Amino acid sequence: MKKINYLFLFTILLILVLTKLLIKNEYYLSIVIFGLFNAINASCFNILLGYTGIISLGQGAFYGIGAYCAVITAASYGISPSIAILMASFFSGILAFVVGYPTLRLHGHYLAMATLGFGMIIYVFMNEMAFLTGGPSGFLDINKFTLLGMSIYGESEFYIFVASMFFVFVVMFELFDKSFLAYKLKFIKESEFASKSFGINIFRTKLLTFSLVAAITAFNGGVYAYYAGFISPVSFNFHYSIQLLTMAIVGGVGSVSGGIVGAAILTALPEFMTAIEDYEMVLYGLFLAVTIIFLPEGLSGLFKKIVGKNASN
Amino acid sequence: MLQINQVSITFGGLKALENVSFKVPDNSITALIGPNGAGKTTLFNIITGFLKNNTGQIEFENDDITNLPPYKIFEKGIARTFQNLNVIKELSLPENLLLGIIGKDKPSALKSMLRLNSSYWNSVTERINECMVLTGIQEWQNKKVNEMPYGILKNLEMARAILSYPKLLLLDEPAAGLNNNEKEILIELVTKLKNRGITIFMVEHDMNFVSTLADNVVCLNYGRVIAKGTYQEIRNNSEVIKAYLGDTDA
Amino acid sequence: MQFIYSGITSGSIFALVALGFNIIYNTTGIINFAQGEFVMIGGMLIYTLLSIYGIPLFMAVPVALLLALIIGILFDKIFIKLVKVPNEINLITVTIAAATIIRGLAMVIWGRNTLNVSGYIPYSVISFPGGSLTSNSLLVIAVSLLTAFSLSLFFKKSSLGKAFRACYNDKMAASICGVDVGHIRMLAFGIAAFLGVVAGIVTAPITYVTYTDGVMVGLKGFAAAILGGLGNFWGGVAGGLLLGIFEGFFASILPSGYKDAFAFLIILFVLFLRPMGLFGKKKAERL
Repeated sequence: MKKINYLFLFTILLILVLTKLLIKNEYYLSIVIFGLFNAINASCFNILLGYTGIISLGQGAFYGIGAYCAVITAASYGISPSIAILMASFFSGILAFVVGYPTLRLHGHYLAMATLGFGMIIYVFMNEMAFLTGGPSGFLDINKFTLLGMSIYGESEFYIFVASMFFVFVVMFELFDKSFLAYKLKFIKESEFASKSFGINIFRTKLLTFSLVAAITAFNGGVYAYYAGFISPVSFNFHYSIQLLTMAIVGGVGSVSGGIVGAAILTALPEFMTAIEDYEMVLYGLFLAVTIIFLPEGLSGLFKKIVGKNASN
Repeated sequence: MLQINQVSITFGGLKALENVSFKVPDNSITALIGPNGAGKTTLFNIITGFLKNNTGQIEFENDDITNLPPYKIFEKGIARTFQNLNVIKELSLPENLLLGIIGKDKPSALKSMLRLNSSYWNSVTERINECMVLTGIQEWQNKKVNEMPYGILKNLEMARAILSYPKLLLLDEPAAGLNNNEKEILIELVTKLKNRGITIFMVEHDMNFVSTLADNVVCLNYGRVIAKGTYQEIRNNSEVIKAYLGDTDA
Repeated sequence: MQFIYSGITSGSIFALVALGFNIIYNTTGIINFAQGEFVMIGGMLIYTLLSIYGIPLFMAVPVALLLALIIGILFDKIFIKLVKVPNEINLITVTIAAATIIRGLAMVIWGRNTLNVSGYIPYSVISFPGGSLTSNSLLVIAVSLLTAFSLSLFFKKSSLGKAFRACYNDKMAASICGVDVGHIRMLAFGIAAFLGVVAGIVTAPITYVTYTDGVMVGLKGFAAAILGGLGNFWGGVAGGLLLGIFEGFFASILPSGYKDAFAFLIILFVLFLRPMGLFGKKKAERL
């Protein structure tokens, strides 16, 4: 078993605490919160692509399903938001199981097409089932978020909640990364042939990973919906799935820090470029292209190489 | 141990294997020989579940394993190496060996994540070290996999298979590409494994290697068993001589 | 019955896009997620040449097509050729990146508004048994099919086309026999962009042009290619037409907003039941 990187976990915790102490401006705090949501989603994408070799271009859909299910069930049945989020997460996991059952037998282009198709179908339904979702103009009837009777409201309170959730997620991810499970998935990613010959039920492992990741993504989506107070389909479309892909790849796939670094950079990027807002999409694409072309292991990989070189010198 | 009964398979009209039957006895070394294209690797892939045979039956310890998925066949106690190496370049040598262990032991995911079974993982580390010594690859453990010579990679595959404590070990051309020195080390290793009670079934071209090790030899040609017996019996079999020296286009 | 005619119209565009996917896939093994952007660029180019520079149609079309070839070749030189670790995921991703850049640049250059391109031929409605087609739709179908046929002739008869097919069958063998594989790949991107721009030009008067147009048409073209069997030339054409007709059918019995969902639902079913597509052959796997 590999050693747990306590320094990394401590650094993350320190950054989260310092952010709370230093950033008083609500707008900046809200950007950090969005960054944390993105970091969880990008890390989930990373578990699929970087560890298991599943390319899923439908992660935005699971995020959206979590968001919509959580607010719709809470609004229509008067369920407490935290229970509604758990239910949404469970439902999304089941749905991922049902979708993954036929599609996870596919690879590469075919799997990309299938997951993308799934994402498109969900997007169309979010738009068209206006009686349930409010259609393209969005869903407004979102209750106040309460947790164990405490109401959570405003940037500052939400920051504490989302940051705690994020930290728990990172700890779990680190524990996973340093356990044999990470290897099991990497065996599948690198050689399905060898994994099968050595007793790994590839399909079952992939299906469980896919479902679990969908459940986490949906949980994240549910919290996002209560934080944002308004959701509409465009937040969960194909472009969002591509953004997650970009974050994971720019940060570096196959490592715990990759998705987090990628999400931090690409969430902050538009804020520094309000003057050239029109070029945001071009820059996003350039970031992705430059990473793939020049840094196949992403920024984390680059960082590790630099640190590794210094250490060996 | 392993019993092949009347196994046949066709690929688009071509009969790759036709009514193949033979036995691999307990605690023996059995070699499968035959010219290129005789169907040896095809048979290996059927035994390990990667190909489905059209007719016939495969029994392992009196258990019908015909057409089971590969991972289940492994769970019964059959491990293999590959003709075209299947090592994972992105991982280190000990990490590669881990595959042989987790597929067999199926350790608890939750306990491992929460580090509640560290004594188990310590024993895993010991087993891996022991096996690296046994197969003579311990000095390569800190090297990158893509810097290792072919012979070491073959031993890595062997070590990975041994770590799963198989009852039956399938070796796909273990001696191919090795120099004489490496072959001798391999002969020693295979003998050791046999003495540990592992039954060995191998596809091999190298007749010296086969004659030194194999208790039984089965010869395939054009998908059919043309001879079986001890090495001496096979060597003098006229059909076998014809298959190797005669008008085969292989 | 009308849905068949409208289905064939949109289906012939999907067919052209699917052909673009197949040509690149066959020569390089890459799925080019920017294929739809070529269609959008086609619409934008013809709009610019006709409405902004006032160039007559008979000159504007060749200029647009020439530009298409150049764009395709640059695409290969800038994005594909530079990828250091050209595995499947990286190649998918670099084309996604390229698509995002092209779309972003289109927004910067042409803005967010829908641009109006007037019809190339006088508007009229031609009736057929069980339905009718507008003259513009008929033009779309005719041009698409003509393009597909000429392309198939090119692959069958010309020596360059034969080199393409050699590359498809075995890159290594092709390069040993003196085919410049890199050159062929560059041309494959050129032809794919050419096909996209043809599609963009003929549809511009019907759908008009917006910078985001490429996404959906690209995805549907990809779906059509998969439906017909990835890499299968006439399979792509048939897949495109079938997808168009299915979609038209669903749009005629259900609220049309769901149309896009059904196109993808069909794809999910096809991938599940016949991953090699309706007309594809199963590839033998070497263990």
